[in-house]
Amino acid sequence: MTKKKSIVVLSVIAIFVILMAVFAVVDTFQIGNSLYDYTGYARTIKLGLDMSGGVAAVFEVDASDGIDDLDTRVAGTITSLQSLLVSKGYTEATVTEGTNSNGNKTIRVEVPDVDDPERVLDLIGRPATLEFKGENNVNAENLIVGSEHLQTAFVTTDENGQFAVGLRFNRAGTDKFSEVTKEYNGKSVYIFVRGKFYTSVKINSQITNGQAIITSDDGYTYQQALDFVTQLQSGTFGVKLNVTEIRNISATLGENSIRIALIAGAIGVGIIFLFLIVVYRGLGVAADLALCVYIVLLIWFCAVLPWVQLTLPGIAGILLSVGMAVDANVIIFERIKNEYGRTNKPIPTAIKDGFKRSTAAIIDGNVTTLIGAVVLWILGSASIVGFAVTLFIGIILSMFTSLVITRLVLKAFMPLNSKSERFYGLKRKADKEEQEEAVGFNGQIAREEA
Amino acid sequence: MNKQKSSFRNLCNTFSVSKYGKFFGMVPFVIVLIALIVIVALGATGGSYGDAVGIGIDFEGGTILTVTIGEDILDDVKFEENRVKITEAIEEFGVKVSYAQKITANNPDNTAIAFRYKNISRNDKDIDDLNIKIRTAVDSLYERENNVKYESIGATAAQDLLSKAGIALAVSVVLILIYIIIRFTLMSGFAAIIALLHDVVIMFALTVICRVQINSSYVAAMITIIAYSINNTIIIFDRCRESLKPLKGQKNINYERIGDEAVRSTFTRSVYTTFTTMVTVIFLAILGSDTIREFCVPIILGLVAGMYSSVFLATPLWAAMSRSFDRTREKYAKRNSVTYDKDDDGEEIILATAQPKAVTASPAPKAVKQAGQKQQSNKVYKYSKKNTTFKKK
Repeated sequence: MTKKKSIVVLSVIAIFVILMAVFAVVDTFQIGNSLYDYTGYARTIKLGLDMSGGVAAVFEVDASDGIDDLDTRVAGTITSLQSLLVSKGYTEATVTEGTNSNGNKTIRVEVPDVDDPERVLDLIGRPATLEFKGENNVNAENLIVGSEHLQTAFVTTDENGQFAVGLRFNRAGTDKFSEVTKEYNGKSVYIFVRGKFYTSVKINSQITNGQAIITSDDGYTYQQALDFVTQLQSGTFGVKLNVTEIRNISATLGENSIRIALIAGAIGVGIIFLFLIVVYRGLGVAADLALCVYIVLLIWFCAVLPWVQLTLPGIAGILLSVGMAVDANVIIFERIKNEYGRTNKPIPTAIKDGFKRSTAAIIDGNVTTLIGAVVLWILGSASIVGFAVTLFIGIILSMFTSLVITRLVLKAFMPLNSKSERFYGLKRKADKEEQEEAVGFNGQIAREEA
Repeated sequence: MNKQKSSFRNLCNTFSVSKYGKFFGMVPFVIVLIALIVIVALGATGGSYGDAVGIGIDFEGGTILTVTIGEDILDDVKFEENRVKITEAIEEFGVKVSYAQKITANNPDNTAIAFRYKNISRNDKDIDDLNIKIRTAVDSLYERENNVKYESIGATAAQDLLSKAGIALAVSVVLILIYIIIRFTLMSGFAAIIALLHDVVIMFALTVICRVQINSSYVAAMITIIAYSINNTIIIFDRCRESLKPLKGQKNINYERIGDEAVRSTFTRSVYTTFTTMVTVIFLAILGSDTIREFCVPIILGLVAGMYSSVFLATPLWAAMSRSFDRTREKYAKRNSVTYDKDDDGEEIILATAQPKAVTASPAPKAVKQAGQKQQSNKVYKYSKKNTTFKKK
């Protein structure tokens, strides 16, 4: 690398970090005279109930319908609600069974990162009646009632690979649906949600096995199919739910939990940066630059990846991966010091060999953690997935920044001052016989020699 | 100052973890014993072992007490004052408030605070009686009528959170074990996994001793520590692997010495890493609310346990296990050669016994030769620095 090239490389990295940092937080920016609306990507990171609160909706279970086995039906409804919310990407939402002071059963749905209470109802499809009717008229006779006949609905594909809506009926529903499809074969049935016309479906043949798929002539988009499924699913709830309250709730960790997490993070990172510079000097500067790249990339990935909903466990994943990113740098630098201390290699060679000899350790350490993260991602329940995802991103980035960016920065440093022991905090061991590990107070040692 | 540093360095250069391996092994047992005593004592007096362990509201459910106060508490300072006041009133009754949340509605006059606490009894009637008492007590703090209501809630953590996390952990432990066995040695794998299990047990024991409530975020804290500890152990084992490379095929390898050397040469890094990982968690614990602290304390304890296990347990364990593994293999090889002896002449025996090492390692000609020489002189090969430095040209 020539001096010119190394200055270019360092400037590019610095500008990248600064731009990424700016775009993370700015709200609007101005080019020329026009003002652009933009939300910094760091602000778009989805946050969990514990970090930012959300909306809590409490439904009272209407037990007046007189059907037995309320407990089972409530439990079934809770499961349906949970899977509905997870399918919408709200992995951190909670659905809890409760009893209010009147002794009535309640279901409490808490959805994070939502400001508008009405939005919760959009998400879970306003638990309401779902009716199939023979004609486009609200007052027409019900052919099929969701809560009585429909077991579940799901997004699927038809034989042509187009998205379609799958229906599965329960035992009573199978008989009823068979009758209906016989009677209305070749005609249309009309689906009403909460007493309002939603869509109509043409019946092509009699269906006796209780399973059906609904296709559209133009083909559904995934989103259309999903919306339809949501409506159908919320019509299958085994119990009638009445909304008793929908209110905004604050973070369970306390009002200022995000601010506190940010302050603690800033102090922690600041101390780590200082620590690396004090202990490793020039090498520390390179590590700090690589860590800056790591931090902006981590924030960016958290913002753009759809599975990330940041909660306290997610923060733990980030803390651990930051720790591992720093660790990788420490391992490399200890090796470099070791290489330089007990051989006659010049600084660039010592740095190169230090990287070479620490790569295996870093990769092995990271891969084992990565195995854990992937298994948790696949097998863990919803709230663990958030943690696994942040850990996964963090580890990949930590390997990338320590093995690629730190090396690049150090390579770029080389043409500028490749002989300065003082800058890199490196020192040759005077006594060849005692060539043990340098203990890490090399700032001091280098000064003594100078 | 300088003197202190050099004595620290001396300690680092001469310290042997293998020598005190037994002593280091005792510490976890003592901690687990204390935790067991705490659980049994509290469980026997309190009647519930779940409470004794400290299972929190996320897993067991409890009560939500909503206190409607009005637009006053839209202000953060006022909110905090009221929160503290009511929390004290509730905790008078022996329950512990796990979460306090501000609740806002369209009408600012309905702004409320919701407190969640775990019930201390399992009996529905007792729970109700207590909640009524708490309601009366909190009611008397405010002039506003009918401002307190309560609702019992079930577990917010999904029923399958623990079982799924357990299965995921078991699967990852097996996969990690396989990976370590492939990349390192069989004994490294077992030593690392034992260290990992140690961390899980110790972190849990320390959590019980410190009386920290176990809620759903605890599972994540536990996994964090496991990942941290495995990484830590691997870095040390990497050094062992490197020292072992030139000794491949030799007998009576001084594993203890290699382990000590590896621990010593990575000790600076172990301390630095624990420090840099911990610093943010410590600040989070200092600045954060009680709930955040409940999450951070187990992590801090776990980081210490994780470092302890990889430095003081995994390495001596690895050394002891590798040694006895070698010995067993040798014995096995000898026994095989003895049965072999019955059919064949003496010359064959020497060949058979001279090669036991070549069974697993790809028998590089040099290694076989070394092993052969050793057989004749029966010399103990001590680990030596000369063998481990790679001079690459």
